[in-house]
Amino acid sequence: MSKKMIVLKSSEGVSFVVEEAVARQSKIISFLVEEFPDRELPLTNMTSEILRKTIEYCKKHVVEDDGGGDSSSSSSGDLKEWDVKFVAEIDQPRLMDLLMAANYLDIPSLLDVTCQKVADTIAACNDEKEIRATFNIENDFTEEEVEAIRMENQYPI
Amino acid sequence: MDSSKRSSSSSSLSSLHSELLEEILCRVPAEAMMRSKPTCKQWNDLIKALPTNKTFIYKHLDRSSSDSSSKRFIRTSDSSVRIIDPGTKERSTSPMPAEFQESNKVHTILQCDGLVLCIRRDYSQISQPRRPHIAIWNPLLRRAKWIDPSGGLLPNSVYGMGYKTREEDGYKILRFSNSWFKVAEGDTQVEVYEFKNSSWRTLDHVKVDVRVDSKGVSVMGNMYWLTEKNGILGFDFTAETFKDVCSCPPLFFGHRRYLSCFREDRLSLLQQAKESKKIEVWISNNLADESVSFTRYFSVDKPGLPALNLHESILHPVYCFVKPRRMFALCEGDEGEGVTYTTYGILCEIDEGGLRNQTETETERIYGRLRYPIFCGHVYVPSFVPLP
Repeated sequence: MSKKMIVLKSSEGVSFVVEEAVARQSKIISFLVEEFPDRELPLTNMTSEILRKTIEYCKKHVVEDDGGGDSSSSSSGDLKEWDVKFVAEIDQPRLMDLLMAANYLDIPSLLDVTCQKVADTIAACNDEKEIRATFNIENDFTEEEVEAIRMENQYPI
Repeated sequence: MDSSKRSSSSSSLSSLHSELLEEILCRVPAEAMMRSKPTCKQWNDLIKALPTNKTFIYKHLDRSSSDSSSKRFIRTSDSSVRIIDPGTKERSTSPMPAEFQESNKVHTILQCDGLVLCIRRDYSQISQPRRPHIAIWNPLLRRAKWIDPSGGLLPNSVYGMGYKTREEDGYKILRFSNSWFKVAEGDTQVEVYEFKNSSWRTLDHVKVDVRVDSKGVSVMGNMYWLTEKNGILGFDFTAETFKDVCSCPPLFFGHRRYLSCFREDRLSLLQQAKESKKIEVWISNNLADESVSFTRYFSVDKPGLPALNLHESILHPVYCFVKPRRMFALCEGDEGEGVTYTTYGILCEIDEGGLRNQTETETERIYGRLRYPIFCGHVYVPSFVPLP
């Protein structure tokens, strides 16, 4: 029972050989392999590092078709735990890259976990200074403007 | 996706296109989002524009409603509003809205989609029939407005809030008479206020023939109350009729019971024994199901449990389950005599093994006579829904 494999190529030109079932979690790849079978797919805007991470995620989430129907339901809690660990281990800039990759390749569940992680990071910041530092955002407000926004939050304008 | 050779911090949060940024922001708790406004201009503009983006508002609300960690306790006193996150114990205090300062005696009665319905406590319908006595308030956006009264005389009014479709048809307020005394033949019994056209309308053929506990709960756009006949009365805002939803499990201690919302789509029923302080909570199935019934969800009978509700005839316990079978409750009390009183709030964490944790959330000194209710508490999900 040989599994069908496809080749994904990163922006650096590195080839990744992946089981088709794994890669098909991306709706874009799923569409492309139907349109262009037996071709390697160049993903020019994904670095090898991010592509490797994306494949790692897809491998974990691939639905096993070969029997054992009850195994998938019992592992859904474990899978969630795995997801949390998976995104926790990635630093902020790479998390953003992974989020963009999930969006680009159209992998809804990966987009969900990465968006949730970014949202949790924003929520964990105590103030705007922490958000700027965490996400490397430049402050284009003056002190007075910041104070005015704080007041707006306090009382109706 | 044109930049192919950026290696390290390539995609930054502020460079995301708005669709993707919204996808992230709809997962950020509302208060954290408000707090983040001064981050940068683009960010501030985006968040300021949210109350006009209905798709985003309801996407955010639906996520929050189904996520038990979005539940907050809101507690209002004469002058201030306190919002407590039971899970993280984070709390914030702000003044009551300017609209309420004049009356200073506003009593919150229920919440629907992050909008709080309030009633003037010192109001007399007989002597001041034209004075507005109910208001709608979004505590997160800090907006409030009074609603013109209908002029109809409804003894012992009970209020409700809901919607048929919240976006097109809009929010509605229900008001009906729930008096012991029979309303004279031909008198208005039930009326509905539509925010859409700012007017009251009488529901001529709708009658209420059972007395309810005035504290109702709004769930998924419809209202629910406990009845004196030990059942649940519902008001369907789509059909604009009352219906008997189900009967309640038998009273186990013969004491009062309290109705609340569980998750986003079911009811919970709480009872606490006066002496032993034993607590029992029953949960309904999804209210959208064909038939509704209650099953026992939580029971605790251990020494040291707090009284969830000190003044049981007036106030309702404020509690929710943030984690399965782990209850968070805001307990209130007061001490003192003569002209000085101290009121306090304690956040209690209780599971079936007993009281696990308690944190004092506030104390407030009050001079003069202690009036009840001096505060109102609710479980509340902050939302960006603008005042209708």
